[in-house]
Amino acid sequence: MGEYHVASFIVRCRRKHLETVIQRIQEIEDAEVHEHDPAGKVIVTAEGEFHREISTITEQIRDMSHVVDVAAVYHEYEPETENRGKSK
Amino acid sequence: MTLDRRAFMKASAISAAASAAGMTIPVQATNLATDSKLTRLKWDKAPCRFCGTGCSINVATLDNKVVATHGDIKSPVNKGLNCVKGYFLSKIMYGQDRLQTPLMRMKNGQYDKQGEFTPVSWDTAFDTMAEKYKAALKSKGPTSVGMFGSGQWTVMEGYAAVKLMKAGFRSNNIDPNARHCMASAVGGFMRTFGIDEPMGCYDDFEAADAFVLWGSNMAEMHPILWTRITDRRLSSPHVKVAVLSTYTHRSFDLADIPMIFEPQTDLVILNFIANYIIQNDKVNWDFVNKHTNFVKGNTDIGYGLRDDHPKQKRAKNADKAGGFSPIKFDEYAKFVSSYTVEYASEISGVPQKRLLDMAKLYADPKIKVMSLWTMGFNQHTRGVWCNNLIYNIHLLTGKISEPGNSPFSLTGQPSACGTAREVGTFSHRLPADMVVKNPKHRAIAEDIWRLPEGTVPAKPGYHAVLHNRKLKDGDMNVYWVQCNNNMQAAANINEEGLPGYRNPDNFIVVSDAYPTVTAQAADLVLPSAMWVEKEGAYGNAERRTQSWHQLVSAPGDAKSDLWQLMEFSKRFQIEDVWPKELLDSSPEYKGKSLFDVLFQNGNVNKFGLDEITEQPLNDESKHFGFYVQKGLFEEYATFGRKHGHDLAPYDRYHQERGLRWPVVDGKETKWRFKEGSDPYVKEGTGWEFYGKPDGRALIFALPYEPAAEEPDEEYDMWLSTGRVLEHWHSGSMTQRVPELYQAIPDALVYMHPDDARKRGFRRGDEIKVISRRGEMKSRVETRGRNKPPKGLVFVPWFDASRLINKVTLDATDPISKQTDFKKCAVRLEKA
Amino acid sequence: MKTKIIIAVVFLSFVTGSIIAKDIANLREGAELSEQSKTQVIPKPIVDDKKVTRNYPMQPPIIPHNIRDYQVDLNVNTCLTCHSRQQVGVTQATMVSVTHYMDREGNFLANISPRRYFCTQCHVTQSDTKPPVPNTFIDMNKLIAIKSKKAE
Repeated sequence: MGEYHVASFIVRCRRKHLETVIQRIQEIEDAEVHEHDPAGKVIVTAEGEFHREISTITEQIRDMSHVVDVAAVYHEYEPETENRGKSK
Repeated sequence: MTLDRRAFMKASAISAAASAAGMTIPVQATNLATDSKLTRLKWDKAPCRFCGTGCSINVATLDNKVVATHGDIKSPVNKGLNCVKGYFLSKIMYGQDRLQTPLMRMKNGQYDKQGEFTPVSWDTAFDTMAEKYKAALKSKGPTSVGMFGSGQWTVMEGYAAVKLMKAGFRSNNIDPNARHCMASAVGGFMRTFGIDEPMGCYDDFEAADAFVLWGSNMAEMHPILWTRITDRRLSSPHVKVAVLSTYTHRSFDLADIPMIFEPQTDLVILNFIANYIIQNDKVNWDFVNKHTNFVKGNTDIGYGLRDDHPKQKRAKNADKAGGFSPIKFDEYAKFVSSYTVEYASEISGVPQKRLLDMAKLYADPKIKVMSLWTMGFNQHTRGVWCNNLIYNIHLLTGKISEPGNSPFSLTGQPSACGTAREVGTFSHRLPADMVVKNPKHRAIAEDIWRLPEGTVPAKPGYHAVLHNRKLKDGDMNVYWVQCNNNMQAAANINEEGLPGYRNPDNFIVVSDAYPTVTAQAADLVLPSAMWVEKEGAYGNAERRTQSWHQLVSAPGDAKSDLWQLMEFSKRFQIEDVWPKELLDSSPEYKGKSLFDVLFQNGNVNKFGLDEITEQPLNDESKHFGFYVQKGLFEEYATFGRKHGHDLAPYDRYHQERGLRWPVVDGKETKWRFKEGSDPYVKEGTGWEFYGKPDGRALIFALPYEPAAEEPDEEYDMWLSTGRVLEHWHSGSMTQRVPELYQAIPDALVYMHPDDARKRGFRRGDEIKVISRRGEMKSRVETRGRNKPPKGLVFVPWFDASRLINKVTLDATDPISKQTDFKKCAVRLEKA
Repeated sequence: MKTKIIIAVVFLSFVTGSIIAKDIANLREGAELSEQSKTQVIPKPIVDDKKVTRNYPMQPPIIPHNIRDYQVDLNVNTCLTCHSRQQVGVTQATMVSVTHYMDREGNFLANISPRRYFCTQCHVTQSDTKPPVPNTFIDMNKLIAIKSKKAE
């Protein structure tokens, strides 16, 4: 029984290399770029079946040149079953 | 899981990050099944509705409903954190029994005090109210009407109420529930410094080397500030935390120096520390000589009880409780010399080593100390003394007004500072620390308000505890309660509160969002809008004023307290409320309505609707035809600007996560009274306590005096009352949130297992807590979060069905008039 | 079919919400102020270990297990002995949210940020007892479903 993890981050990179960084992130499977601003902030989500996969993606982005910081904002996951716990 | 579910989780992830980054919410993930226009959430900022910490929140609305909140990452106060109450702000407005129409007690279609609550229109409600007010004013005059307001009123609401009462009805009988929480702190500030509110700010948390909690349970009551202390303590090994209380609670989990003391002996411990500093030659003479004076305060000042109470009759200085006379250092040193560590330990029960460890934190000039207190000091029959005494310690050592060195009076309510104290919604006050007794202050108010000389009454009115007594005695006959639950909150329900409200001579109006205990005791209940259903501003404990826009509509016919105050004033011609002499001196007001005189005076109605640029909702302004909140705020701000209470222009607050006053030349002030940080401090002085004419703060010689009621043979236990993390105050909001209710549903009697065993109680037994004034049933808890020592029980007051204030004593600090909710004598019996 | 039921539920809560409460003592079981109803026994906590849907994504999840005698102080943090990143492989407990690894400035730390140390400031257990007043808060999912149904 697997899970579905999704996490979002604010990636900060050097303004000059914004386009390059965005392209590189988009090359990572299960990572997606959503918004960015000209100051060098990029909104990225990562999806995966295990938490480990999220961490791997985070590390990959952090290791990229011209990336200054990766700040996690949000992380949720749920088991992949049909009948999840119902609300009260 | 469905694709919709995944897509939704992902959309939430994106919106959270975008919001945190300050970007607009992007179009949702493309594999979302629904139209992105439908899923777009609108995020706006607001302060939290709850405690005096003043966290900032981001609020998400959809379809005129609040659907989510999270802590504002951008706010320096909480940086994205909330406590559990804050995390459920989305639900506080949606209790099913939200009041939506006025309810009046009626029999046979007429108002009847013994009648059943019946829905009526606003017109009928205001008609009846106006009739009652006019009758009372005519027969007994302005002292027969009263108002009980709130530290949870917005700044504008408090200000409008002050005008309505003091300038309109010309009655000083307006007092806020902040009298129950911060009056002693105010008394302390005014006596020691001559000006209200903390000199430090929350930045002190990250700079201090030591924290001392004096009777405050920050872990539950100021949780986000506690996270800042925890962060500091667990990141820097040299940092020490000392916690003092009359029982063990959650804040002790972080204590390096835990101290449980006998109730009331905090006075002894405070004097011991001053003595220790002097005996060990740690007085900062440079500071003391340049910046302080020594005085001796009056003693034997009574307990604020009714005049015929034997303890009041015996008190020598009950009528000059606040007096003091100048002395020299030597006399002060001699005064505190009897407070040795042996004496302090013996009378308080705290081991000598702990007392000395704590004293060393204060005495060592290299250790930056932050002292923190709230209700333990303030709800105390010698609360003002406690406040003066803690300042003594920081003044003797010069540990004040610099980062980390901070005697910090914590505030309970979200706007006890911003509204009650700064606006002056007290029986003796006017805005900006001014007082009704001072003719110069009255003249300033009359000038700003464009009113004739003599409008504002000079004699202070009734304060909170007196309200209930005067209602009971029939001296006050028309009473309006807004935004608080005083029937549940005030001490001595059976003898004073309940008979007061139900006195057949009295007409009681209660404005609230929910049917509370106070509403149950009322004659007319008015449905109120709450929190983000109205535009407003609050001021937190560190002098940070924060504003917010209306984000959703109020349900049914509920209206904000502000609307109610202003709309009600339309029911009066000025001739109904002002005497002939006053009108003759300002004939231009003849024939005008009270609304015209107070709220269309050229100031309050100065800003048009076109100035409301950011948010479409503002029900009050649309109704009255001008930007009401801005007009009131700007007129109010006139009082304080250039007088040490400077507020920024109103519009600026909508851009910021709050600003700490005084805001001078666009810049907020972090540390007051310190050169370089406070623009009011004269160059070259270093420190200047400019609230006092000579710029010097006062060090007070004040002794230990016993509590009003101590355990004896018949009532053998101390009773202390207070709060819990999960519920705010009387629980009227939080008990209606299922997750918070289920976190801690009932007020239990927390006691030591030995005390239970001795009386044959087992955990969970139903018992009665009995005092000379009344009793309350509850269940025994011997292994809860609060672990009292033997001889003391603790009962929180959030529970409408377990009213501990039937048991408490309405003794007060005679100077501040604040009730001591922490000490009275009870006995326990099986129910 | 499902969406229709959702609408009906929502409509009902609007209607009941607008009924005037003639009984004003809703948190007191209607008792007069001079009286007091019999007090309920101390309810037991719900400890079935079942996850409960959160009202919105950022809500801290409630604690569905017993925490009696758990210590969180200067010496130990019992909660983290199961919920920390290192332990969840063994315990199968939910890992603390990754947000708990950020400091005040938003920097990622190796361990849980001290500002998150006292878990019960945000996470609470639930007692097995019925709230006296229901709450009509509407989950954003439901609101969206209504809107999209209307839009069709």
